[in-house]
Amino acid sequence: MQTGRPRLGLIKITVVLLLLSIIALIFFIKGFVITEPAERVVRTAFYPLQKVFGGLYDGIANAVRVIKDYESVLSENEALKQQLHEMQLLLSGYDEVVAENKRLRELLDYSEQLPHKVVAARVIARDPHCWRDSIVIDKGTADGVQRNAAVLGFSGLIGRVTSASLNSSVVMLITDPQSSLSGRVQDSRSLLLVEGTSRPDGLIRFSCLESGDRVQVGDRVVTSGLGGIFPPGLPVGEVVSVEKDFYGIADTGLIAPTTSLLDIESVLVVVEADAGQR
Amino acid sequence: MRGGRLAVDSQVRAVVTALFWSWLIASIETSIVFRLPPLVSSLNLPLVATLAAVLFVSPEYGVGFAFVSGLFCDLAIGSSVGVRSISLVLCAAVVGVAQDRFFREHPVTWALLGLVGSLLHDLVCAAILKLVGRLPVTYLDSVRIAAVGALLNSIFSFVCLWLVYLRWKASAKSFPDGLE
Repeated sequence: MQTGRPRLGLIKITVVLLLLSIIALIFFIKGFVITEPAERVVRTAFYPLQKVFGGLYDGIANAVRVIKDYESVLSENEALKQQLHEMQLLLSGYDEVVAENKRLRELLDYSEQLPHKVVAARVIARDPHCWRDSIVIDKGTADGVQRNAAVLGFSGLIGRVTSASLNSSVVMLITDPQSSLSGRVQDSRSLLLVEGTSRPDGLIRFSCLESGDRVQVGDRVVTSGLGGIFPPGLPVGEVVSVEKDFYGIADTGLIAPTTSLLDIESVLVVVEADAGQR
Repeated sequence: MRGGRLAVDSQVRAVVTALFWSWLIASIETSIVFRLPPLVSSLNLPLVATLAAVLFVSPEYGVGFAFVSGLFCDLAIGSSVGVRSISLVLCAAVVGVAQDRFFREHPVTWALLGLVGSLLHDLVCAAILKLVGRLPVTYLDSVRIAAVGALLNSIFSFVCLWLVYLRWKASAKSFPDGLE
């Protein structure tokens, strides 16, 4: 170990690596295509492990749940312990199946209502530190997923694909401050600009594009289709508050997304929008 | 000639080992940690692995490891490439430069490094993301996340670095080919 003198080699390496990181960040922010192929390669390399670890975690979580059930059964009546234990084990497995069945059925029902061709995908990665609002799903270009494809939850829009590799894709959620889309009030047909916010409660912001348009609490907001990215008519959320903008002219306020974005496990990706809808 | 070739082989092995561990740690970080309960999801595996690499392999190796694992995490998540590698490289460099000034074989050192490293990492991350307009949380929330993360990573570093330390002691205080 070197002692008492500056580590020049270390400082040189640090400066070089920091410069490389800063260049990568600048490239990314400026949207240079160089980071996208690198992303695709890395995500393709990460896909198998992420899939395995995700499955492993689910298995362990289920096992822990079963063990917890087992412990609670032990505290029950001694005579019924064995029987109850078996029932709990069965029930825990059954509940899991029922919950999954319900989730998938809701997803299937919703996908059948949609006029678009969709593929179901599972969330395999997400930034755990809440610094960024994006998720990674287990479907990519091999399944027909393209950049800018709309991504739906159980009951409405949750985001769009910002980058697609062979087996996985990154989805920017509508709560991301970088996200903006063209929306419409379902009843009055007023056009809105809907943008992500940095709010911890997950609400997103809207502002009316026409000064005369009025929006009310409870109004349902859908995509307008005018932005050219999302098909029209996809549910976005419900207006929860309305106020005047800075100049006191147009309505602005907050929307609660139709789908909770905190615990998304499965999503639908629009791989082919209905021609009549676009 | 033969000695030079052996040195190159050893360096190649060290790079491959670093890439493998970075890949493994970034995969766990991006695919499992976000599924944990909110309080525990502030665990920072790449940071703790970086601290282990700096303390028990070499500061230069640790800085390189920090860069690769940070970049892998950013690329695997697909946004703001470079943010995490900047903060991890800074953490590794600070610990590496100051390594001679503290007792690196003491458990309290590991806990403190986990605490300070986590705070530094999270606040640098938040500052860069704010600077480029991509921070999806408020200032207050970013401080809260950083504080909870610091406490958690302090305990986590203590446990993990103790295990690495025991392994390091058993291998005659030498990991010539990386964190094997």
